[in-house]
This record gives sequence, structure tokens and C-alpha cells, in this order.
Amino acid sequence: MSELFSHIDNLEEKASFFLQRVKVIQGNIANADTPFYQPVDLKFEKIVRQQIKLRKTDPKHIDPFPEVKVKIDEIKTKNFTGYDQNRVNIEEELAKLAESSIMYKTLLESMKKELAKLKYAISGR
Amino acid sequence: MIFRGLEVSVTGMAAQRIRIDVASSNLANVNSTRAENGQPYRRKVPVFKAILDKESGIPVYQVRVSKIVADPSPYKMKYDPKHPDAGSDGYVRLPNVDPLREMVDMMSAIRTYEANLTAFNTHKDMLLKSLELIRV
Repeated sequence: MSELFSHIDNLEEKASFFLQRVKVIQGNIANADTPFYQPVDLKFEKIVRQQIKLRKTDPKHIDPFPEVKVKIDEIKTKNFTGYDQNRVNIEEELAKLAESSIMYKTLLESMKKELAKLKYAISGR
Repeated sequence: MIFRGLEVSVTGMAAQRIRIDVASSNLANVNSTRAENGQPYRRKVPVFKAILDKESGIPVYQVRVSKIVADPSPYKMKYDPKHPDAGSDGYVRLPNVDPLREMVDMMSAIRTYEANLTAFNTHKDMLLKSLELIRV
């Protein structure tokens, strides 16, 4: 995408992360009564591309440019567990849900502002 | 698919509703001395299972009720020689249902159902919010 939209692209990437995270949290809440279930969470981690070009000469080599933008992080909580070994803390999940939703809405609002600015620049009104 | 997140919360709500149904059936049969095979009613328990939603690429777990099993705990005994189902010793075998436990189970299911509904509505609001982008 051109330079003109690079800021919106950045915001979009973050917004999509929060939408994904909400799905994961929904899964945790759905499994609040499943025995042995351990909650999962996502972690946002931007990998900076290396400048030096590395070549893979063997299939066993680790990929030099991992395209990972969203890191999946399985949390090992020390929450209290009931008799069914379930580690979901429903209050914590609901708090994370609210947080992610607010972040998502904020990012979308910023995207709207960016688009409005572009429209203003194009049309002059 | 765009609505996959909503689906996850729906599975959560459906599972909790089954839990309420099972608890209601246990409560209704608290005095049933004759059920299947002529034996007294046995308390039923739903078994939940987490299922990884493979299509989404991120660890999203749906929930399913994999089976409904009978509670193997012993029947309650009550001395009542005039009851038609009383044994030769005068004792009647009553279902292994504890009404208090069923009530607690039901309340817990309602709360979790509500939490799933909150998650559903949050996700729905987020999707509706993204629609605003085309109105710029």
C-alpha cells in the first residue's frame, strides 16, 4: 500500500489483533465450566525485519524472516482451581474483554479520523 | 468467517442451557422411584468438552456437551413400608438427587450464560463499529 495509507494500515493491524483477542477470550468464557481447561491469551509483538539478507541453504534452517506479527501466548495461570481443574477466572476474562473492545473502538475511531482527513485533502471541504 | 467469534459464545450459551435443562430434569425427578429398567431415577450430569476451532488460526475454543452421564453415587434410603416400591425390609430406594445442589448448579449456569451473552454483545458491537468506516 502507498505511503498515503501507511498510518491507516498500522491502525488496522492493531485493530485486527484486538478482534482476534476478543475471539480467544470468548472461547475462554465459553469454557468456564469445562474440566481441565486452561485459558489462552494472545500477545501483540511486532517483529522488526532484519536488514541483512540471510539465505536458507538447508530446509532445517530456521526462517530468517519470520512473518509473525501476533504472538500466541498460552498463559500458565496460578489461579485457584476447583475440583474440575478449570483455571478460567471469569472476572479477569470479562475485564480483558472490555479492555480489548475499548481499544478496538478507539483504533477504529482513529481510522475514521484519518480517512476524514484524506477526504478533506482530496475534496477541499 | 466474520461471525465465527459470535458462534463461540453461542456454543457457550447452548452448553449452559443444557446444564439448566439437566438440573431441571433432576429436580423434577427427585421422587421418581421408577425410571428406566424399573430402577429409581439416577441423577444426570452433562460432560463439557473444549473443541479447538481450527479454521480461525488462533487458539479459539468452542464448547460442546459431549455426553450426559448418570451419577453413580448410592440411592437415598427411606423407611416407608406402605410405599408400593418398598423392599422386603420396608426401605424405599429414592433417587440420588439433592435439590439444594441442583439449585446451586442452576444459579451457576445462569451466571455463566450471562457472561457468554456479554461476550456475544461485545463482539457484536465491535462488528457494528467497523461498519462505520464506510460512512466516512
